[in-house]
Amino acid sequence: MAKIVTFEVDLATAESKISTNGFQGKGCEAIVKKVLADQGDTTSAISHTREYNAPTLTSNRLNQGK
Amino acid sequence: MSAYAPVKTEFNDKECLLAALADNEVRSYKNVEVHEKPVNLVGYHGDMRQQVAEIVIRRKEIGSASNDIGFAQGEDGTYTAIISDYDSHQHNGRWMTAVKASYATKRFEKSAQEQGLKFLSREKVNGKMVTKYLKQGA
Repeated sequence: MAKIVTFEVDLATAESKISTNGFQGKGCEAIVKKVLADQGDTTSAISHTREYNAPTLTSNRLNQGK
Repeated sequence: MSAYAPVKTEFNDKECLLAALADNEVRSYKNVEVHEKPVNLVGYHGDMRQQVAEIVIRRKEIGSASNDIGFAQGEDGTYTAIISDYDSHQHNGRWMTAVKASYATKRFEKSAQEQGLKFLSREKVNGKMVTKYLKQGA
């Protein structure tokens, strides 16, 4: 059975999600889990987006007195 | 002289980072230097700065009054963006978010290809980049 894996990323926030359609069987589950696992570092990057959107840059410069 | 400030990121895939810098929704750079060992960034006046990076967007690619922008790889493999105060006005959170969104898509596509999934489509829908892959058989 063919299965579709869909990856969506919000261009304004960089938040993303993965969804699957029609996945059946242990083999397919393993593939989905592997794709999700491979996304681990991306998820981290996205969570960092929120930190970056906070005034981190300004704070760094204030701390440096620049 | 415009001061540089480091911004820690979670980018750890050089190939995907370069692809995201070359193709994002805000400001793209296709001509980017990649070095095995970090090199010094150059400031607006042509002055060599103490900051170093493996990935460098030279100031000539950015603007006549700009400083180089760098991405320096740390021991943990992640890159720290090094952006001057002057250039941070255009290379701000909006730009970094666009790079991250593109990076996420590139990273997913790389993972999908490694898993043998077949590319179906990629399109922008309601402010989201939607990428679909097909997995044949079980």
